[in-house]
Amino acid sequence: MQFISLVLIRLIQTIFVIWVVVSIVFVVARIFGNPEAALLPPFDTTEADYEKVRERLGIDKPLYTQYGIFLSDAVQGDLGYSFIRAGAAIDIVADKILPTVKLTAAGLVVAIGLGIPLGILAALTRGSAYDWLARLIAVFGQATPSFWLGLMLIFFLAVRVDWFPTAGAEGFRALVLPAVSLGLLSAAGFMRLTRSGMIDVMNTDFIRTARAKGLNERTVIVRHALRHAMIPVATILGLELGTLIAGSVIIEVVFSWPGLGRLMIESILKDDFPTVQAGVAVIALSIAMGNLLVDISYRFIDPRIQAAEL
Amino acid sequence: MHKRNYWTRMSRRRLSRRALLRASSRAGVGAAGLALVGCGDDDDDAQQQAVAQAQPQQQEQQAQPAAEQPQQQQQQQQAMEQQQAEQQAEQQAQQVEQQEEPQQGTAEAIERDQAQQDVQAAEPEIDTEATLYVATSRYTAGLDPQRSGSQTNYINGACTFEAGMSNHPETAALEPNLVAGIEIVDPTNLIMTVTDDAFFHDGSQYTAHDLEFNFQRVAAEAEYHAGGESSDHPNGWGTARGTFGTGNFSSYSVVDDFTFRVETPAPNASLAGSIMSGAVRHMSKAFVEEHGDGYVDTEQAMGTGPFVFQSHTPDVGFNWTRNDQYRRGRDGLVLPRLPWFKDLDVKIRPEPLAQLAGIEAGEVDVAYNLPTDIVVPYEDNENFKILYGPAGNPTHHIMFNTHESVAEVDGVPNPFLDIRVREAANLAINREAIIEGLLTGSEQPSYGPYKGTIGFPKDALESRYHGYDPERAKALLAEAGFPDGLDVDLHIVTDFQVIVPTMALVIQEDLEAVGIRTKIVEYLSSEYFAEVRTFSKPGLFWFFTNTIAEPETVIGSEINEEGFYAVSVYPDTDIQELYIAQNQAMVPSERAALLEEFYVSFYDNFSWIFLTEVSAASATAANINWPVGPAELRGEGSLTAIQKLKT
Repeated sequence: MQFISLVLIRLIQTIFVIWVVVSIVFVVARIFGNPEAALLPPFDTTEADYEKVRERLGIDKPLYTQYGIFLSDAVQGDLGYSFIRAGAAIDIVADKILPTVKLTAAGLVVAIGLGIPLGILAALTRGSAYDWLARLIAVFGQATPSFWLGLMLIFFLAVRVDWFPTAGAEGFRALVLPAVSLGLLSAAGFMRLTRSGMIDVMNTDFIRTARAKGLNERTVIVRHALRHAMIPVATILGLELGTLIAGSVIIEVVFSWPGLGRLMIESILKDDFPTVQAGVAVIALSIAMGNLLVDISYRFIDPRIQAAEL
Repeated sequence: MHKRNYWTRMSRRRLSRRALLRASSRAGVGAAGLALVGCGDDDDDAQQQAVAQAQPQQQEQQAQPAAEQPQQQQQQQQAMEQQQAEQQAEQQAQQVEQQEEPQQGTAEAIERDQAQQDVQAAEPEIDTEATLYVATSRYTAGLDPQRSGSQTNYINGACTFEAGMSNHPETAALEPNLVAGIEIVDPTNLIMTVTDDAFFHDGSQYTAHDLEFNFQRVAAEAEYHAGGESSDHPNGWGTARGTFGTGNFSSYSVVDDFTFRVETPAPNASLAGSIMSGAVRHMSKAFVEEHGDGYVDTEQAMGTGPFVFQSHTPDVGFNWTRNDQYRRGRDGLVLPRLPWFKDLDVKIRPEPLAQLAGIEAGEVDVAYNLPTDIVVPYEDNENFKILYGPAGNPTHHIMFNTHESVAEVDGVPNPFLDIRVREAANLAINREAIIEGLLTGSEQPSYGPYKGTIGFPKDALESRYHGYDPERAKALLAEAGFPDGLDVDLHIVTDFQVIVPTMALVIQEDLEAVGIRTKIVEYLSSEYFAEVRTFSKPGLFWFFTNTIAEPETVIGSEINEEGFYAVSVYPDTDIQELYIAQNQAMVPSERAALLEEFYVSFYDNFSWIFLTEVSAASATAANINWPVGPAELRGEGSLTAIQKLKT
């Protein structure tokens, strides 16, 4: 019961967060944006043309009136129509969710698949050449801008050796380079966190007890040490989800990936307010839900943690 | 595809019939000779020596003892017989050759054909069945070429649809297209003749009714839906511009299927260029009425253009195939043309470096409208061809705000109303250094509107070039009352063309060197153009021209006092009168003369700080030819000129 309450409270918090974020975007976009200028070419356009477009888009009204209309529509699930594209903003955003989920999930697989094993091995071989190399990779991963890494991967692995396509979203091969570019930064974070977590856990009494009981080393590491070392990693996982979604904005542009990040960039540049608002709402929702799932996962990683502590 | 490999090389070295006959006859003679020699003496070496040395030995024979003569005579006899046999065999071979001469001619023809094929293989042919892969960073929204928001979808507009008229690739003059001609009945009445050989991709004929419909539609006056609504589009429908110039009509009507009449309230020489330009792409009235605006914007594009729309995936790409029924051939003179390639596959790639990587990886054939600086490393790459040409906004200038109400600098009444200050600002700019050091080296100084527009008097303006003279600039400033220089804001837009922020720093240095100290104020384009239109801030405003052949789009908005970007106004000159006069001169030659006078007056008045042309780059794979005329841009409008060569 306590757990269900927790979930409900978190969902209400999520709605509140989305409302605040979208409201901020609504106001900021209208203060600094000028969509009629993006819609109409600078030459051969009269003030009357601009006025006509403002009227059609509904941005000729006072800000509070626009906001009121927006809120009343939003509670009915209507986030408005795109200024640029044909269709409802939420539909346009929804079409782009799957490619971005695919990319983000692949980035997460790279991050976890690379970061956690490297972290464990580095911790178990602490002070060795391998540990040194793993930390070097982590520093490289954290210091490398993802767009630069993406361009380098394109140059060497797509242009020079032709293992992967240079851009696009057709097939598994097209997913590899963007996923690596996106996931490497997070992999470095996971690696460092896993390493330090494992080093701490391996020096605890219960690990010594487990060894004293005669458990083999693999069981000690996988069943006892790793489970505890994963608690901070799980916390970071929720935050990394946000990092990956934010990173996908650039990666999708570099690799011409037709996802939500690219849509957001283009919509921002074109002052397509409804699409930006819908996109921000979806991103805020996904990050909030991701964190909620992480919180819920604590109960399974460490059953001692109660709902009240989350 | 023609490939050279071991087997093709071997096949080209095959023996001709003539060579075969010669070889066999010689082999036969050789065999007969050997048989004769073999019958006469077993000493093969002596026999062969006798044959080979028959002539040199004649003198020696005279000195030899008589006992040896019978044997020598026998040997000579044998040698003579062998020679005769050889001659007979050669004659027989010649006879056979003569008898088979016609066949030998065929063999020679085959050899010639083969040689020609070899030459053709060495000089690749144009692959008219090829698929051309084009990368573009252009944001592409709907498929409707007239809808607000989809006005940026230039590639669909240029491929699927056509404009009323096109522009000559060299002179930019209006050329017939969907409209075959415009007759000036009187200065306010025009008769347009619609071509009778244009057909939509569904086979229906383009008529004057379609022309009328498109004018109505861009003016949002078409009433073709229930209830008299101008659109059934889900989120409203608005034209890319208010009227595309059709607001200048008093009335218009269809006379017959191929004749259309327009009346204007006053003579308007620029009207034809405005309403016939590429800005209005013509759709089928019947198709739009049948399917509705939503469908033609999201599902199917159908026009009269050189490409037939096949499919599109938002944010991924477009596919077209050649319109083989297109009425124009590949004359190389008039755009658009019948495409040289079969299919067009456009990939949306926002990042220019990813476009270049695509070319290098063989995934892309053409990328255009690229910043010039990123292609420089590829100039010497054998996999690339790098082409420079005018950018979409090809000339840059800085406008002085000469509206008196805002023009007070350093407590002095508007300094830019003084021609000496304007001249000083112009003489301060080292355009050659900018062109050589910052740009590609191929640009020219700017003289105002783009040189490729109708009526631009290139020679007259070039002979008046202001040049670079900082010392005279300082003297002029001092003479105008600014011996210590002056301080002023330089307003620039940072996201319209990538070169602007960098170029602004160079201009700032040049101006400062003569005493015009500027503070650069940066804007995004979404706010800049609105700001410029207010004329409320003093100082200098960076601006551009465009490449639309009809100059009205630039001079009407930037020089005309009523224009909404007319930051600079000149009450004490004849510039405004000349502007009005040229736009009322309905005879092209008269208009050209007035335009020349207008441009020269404007330039001599130091009306702007005239900067330079600015280039854009295109990159193609090595097997691509992309010829365009001097008044054409490498872009969507000239895709039909691309030739993909067989490799």
